[in-house]
Amino acid sequence: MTRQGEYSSDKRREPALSLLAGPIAWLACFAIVYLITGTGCTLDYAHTNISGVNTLRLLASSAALVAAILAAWSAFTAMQKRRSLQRTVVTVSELPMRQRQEFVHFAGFILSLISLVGILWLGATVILNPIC
Amino acid sequence: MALLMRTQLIVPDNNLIGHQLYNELFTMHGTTMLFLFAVPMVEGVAIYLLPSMLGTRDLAFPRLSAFGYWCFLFGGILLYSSFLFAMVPDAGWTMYTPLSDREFSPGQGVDFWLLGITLVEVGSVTAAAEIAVSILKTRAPGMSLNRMPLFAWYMLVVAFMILFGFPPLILGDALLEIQRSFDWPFFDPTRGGDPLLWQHLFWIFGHPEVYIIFLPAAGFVSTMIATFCQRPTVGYAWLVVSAVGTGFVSFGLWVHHMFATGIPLISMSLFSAASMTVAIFAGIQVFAWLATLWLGKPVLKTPMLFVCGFIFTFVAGGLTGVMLASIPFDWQAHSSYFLVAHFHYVLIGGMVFPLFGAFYYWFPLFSGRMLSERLGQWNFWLLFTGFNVAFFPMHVSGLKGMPRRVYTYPEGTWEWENLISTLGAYLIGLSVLLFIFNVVYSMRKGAAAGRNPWRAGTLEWATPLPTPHYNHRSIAPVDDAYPLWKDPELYTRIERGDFMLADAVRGQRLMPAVHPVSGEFEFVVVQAKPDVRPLAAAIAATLAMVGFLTRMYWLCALAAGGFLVITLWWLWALPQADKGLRDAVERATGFVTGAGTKQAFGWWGTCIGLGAGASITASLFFACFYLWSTSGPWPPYSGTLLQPGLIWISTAALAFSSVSIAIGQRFPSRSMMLGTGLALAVVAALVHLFAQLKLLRDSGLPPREHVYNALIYTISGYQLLHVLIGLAMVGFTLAWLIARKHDHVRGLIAANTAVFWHYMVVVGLATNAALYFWAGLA
Repeated sequence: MTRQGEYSSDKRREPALSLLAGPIAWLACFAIVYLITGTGCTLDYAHTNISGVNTLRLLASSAALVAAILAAWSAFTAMQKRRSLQRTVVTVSELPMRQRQEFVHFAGFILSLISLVGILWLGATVILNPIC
Repeated sequence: MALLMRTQLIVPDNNLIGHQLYNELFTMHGTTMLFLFAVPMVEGVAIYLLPSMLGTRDLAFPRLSAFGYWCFLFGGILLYSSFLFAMVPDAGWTMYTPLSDREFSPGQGVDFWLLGITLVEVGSVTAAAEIAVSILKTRAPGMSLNRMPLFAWYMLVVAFMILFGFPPLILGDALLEIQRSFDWPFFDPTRGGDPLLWQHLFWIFGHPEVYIIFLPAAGFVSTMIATFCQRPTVGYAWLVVSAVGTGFVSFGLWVHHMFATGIPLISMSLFSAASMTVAIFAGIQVFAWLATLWLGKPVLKTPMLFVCGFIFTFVAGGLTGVMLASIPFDWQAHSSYFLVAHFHYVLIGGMVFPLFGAFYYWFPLFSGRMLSERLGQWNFWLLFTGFNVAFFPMHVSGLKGMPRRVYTYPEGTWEWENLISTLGAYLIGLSVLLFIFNVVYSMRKGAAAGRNPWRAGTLEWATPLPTPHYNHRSIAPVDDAYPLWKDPELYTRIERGDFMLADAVRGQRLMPAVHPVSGEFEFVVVQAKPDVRPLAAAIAATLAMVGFLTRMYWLCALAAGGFLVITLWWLWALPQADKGLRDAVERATGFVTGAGTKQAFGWWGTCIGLGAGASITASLFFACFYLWSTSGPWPPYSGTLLQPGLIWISTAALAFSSVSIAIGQRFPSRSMMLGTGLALAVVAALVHLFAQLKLLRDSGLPPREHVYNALIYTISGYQLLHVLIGLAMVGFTLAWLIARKHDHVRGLIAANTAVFWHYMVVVGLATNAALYFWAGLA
């Protein structure tokens, strides 16, 4: 298969799914918070407390906090990787791979950042509103 | 239909068409525009455009495209045949229960809707799987993710949204049809059901649907705006981020259609917050387009006029959307004409304007001619004026209290607003007539398009016009998002056959497969030729629906069996399985014709298809959870109704079958071991089947009595359906092994069977966990 190499020289790959880490954290947070509050209100757990704090509020805001940390970590990691890429010198043949990786990390960074805002916004509704 | 409705509303107390026909018209209008126009149109355009835009020859599964097309067509015909039998659905395009129950909709109109739309949804999901796999796997070599055309990015996101968004409604349709046909009370509150479950299932589909319609149009706009500004769209990565972000957030908005249903305040607040988050992504896109206009030198040809109309209209609709995301405002405006105005601004502004623009822009690809510019400008201005005259006054009538879906209104209320709206609607009708005339006229007498008439940068213009069926004579490697701008001679070189697969093996359809991220070339694919099997499978699926509709369940079973046989026959003739053909292609082209299992299109198709299956499963368990939490005592009886011992036997058999298949899979080169693993799995599955059926029979629970019983039969039946499909797949794989068609390097058939089987076992374990939990509660 002599011609194979003409069209397939770029063997290095990177995990493009890291691009989705932020939105996945947002979606998981949204689903868990909705599940906790929706079920808790329907099954009449609105007035149960743990150490004086409303149980549903505690659970939901904890979930939001964990998701926020994950999104922030994902944004930070993506930014670090992008910076480290920008500091390395590449040859012309490595340029396409470098551009691709930069794209993935930049998009991942922005998505994680916006997801973090979305999670904090979601968390604020849990903290500031009456639970049921 | 819309013009008839508007004519009915032109004056107060009008009785031109009467309330029944009005109900039928608004039901069919909404259904047609959402299911039979918007989604098929964007998927159809994508299926037409993507291969040439991605620099290749075809999509991954051409026969699946055909199957999806026939399902769309037959589903639409089934739905519209309700007019012939005077059984037109009249419960609104949302089919809310209890209005759509048999008690309040006693005819068969709703059944026509449920079964016809289910077939259309099957077509949508298959097309989405086709589009997703194709964008990931069938691009020109070198077209990495960061060089993919923006339209392809948008369609990739939309395809996944369809795959996860449509299945909840497919489940909802099935549950409602079962309730209507067999009186199982999923939505009947007197027997433990809940009508709000329908709204949840409908809107989990319905809200993403809005973005499923909008995002492809945003892809059109991002493509056209670059061409008419003669520069790359500003913020490529930002637009990709917006598309992906919108795809995710759109699944967290559905309850904002249910603010008036009495759900807990905190739930409403969560969805209100998410509804506002989505505005961030919409805002990013609008600013990227405006920046492109600002930095380029826009030429106001007809497509560009439609882009400008889109930006104006969509922003207006988006702003009223943010207003409606506010709970108190939504309560005020709910079910009023304000809402009608909002969603028409979003849907017509967000989809119809760009679609018209896209038609003007890409018309030369399939006709070789240009549409008339003068008629096009008239078309735009009539549509833009007509649209705003028709829909802007609805904001006013809505705020003044006019409810939607009323066939008339009394004097002294909203006469002027309705009169103006109707006149605007006539203008829209006139603009559409002008467009049709322009198409007919230009097909015959339009100016010849020549080569790349708009001086665009993307690869669909690197072909002779009209585009030949094979798209590109040779497949050029790509190293830029706008290859034709980077290398203006690319067209000539492609046509001269300078690149790969210039001289295909006689009578064969060859195209490259690439790595999904890097776009690195992997192997050459021998594609299937035109085939009658997709049509036969779609006919069988339609007959199954007709059997259900006419209550001839024998026809339903027969057609389902026929569908299974046709599908297996279809798979048996995979061209990739023909070793002689593959060898011939490899000798002639110098490229390999396959790689490992996980590079194969079929593997990706199966995994993505299972994603859609997982969405139905998740929706079913959501329904179980929802009904458990809302229906009072659960179960409604005391004492042990389900035997835990049988549940354990069934679970153990399932787990064993999965292990058996996994062990067989570890020896792909030894057909005997593989076959033994499959055979043992069959035995275990039969034990599981027997235990599950005995469990149901011994429980003696009448499914009509309470939703608890109905759900036990439903989740068990759903699991048993999976087992039957799994058994058919294993039988097929065994036959494949016996016929010595198994290729241990690729081993695709066995691998797909294994992955489905493991998925089926996961569904079974979840089912048994639910049954065991419910048995424990008793």
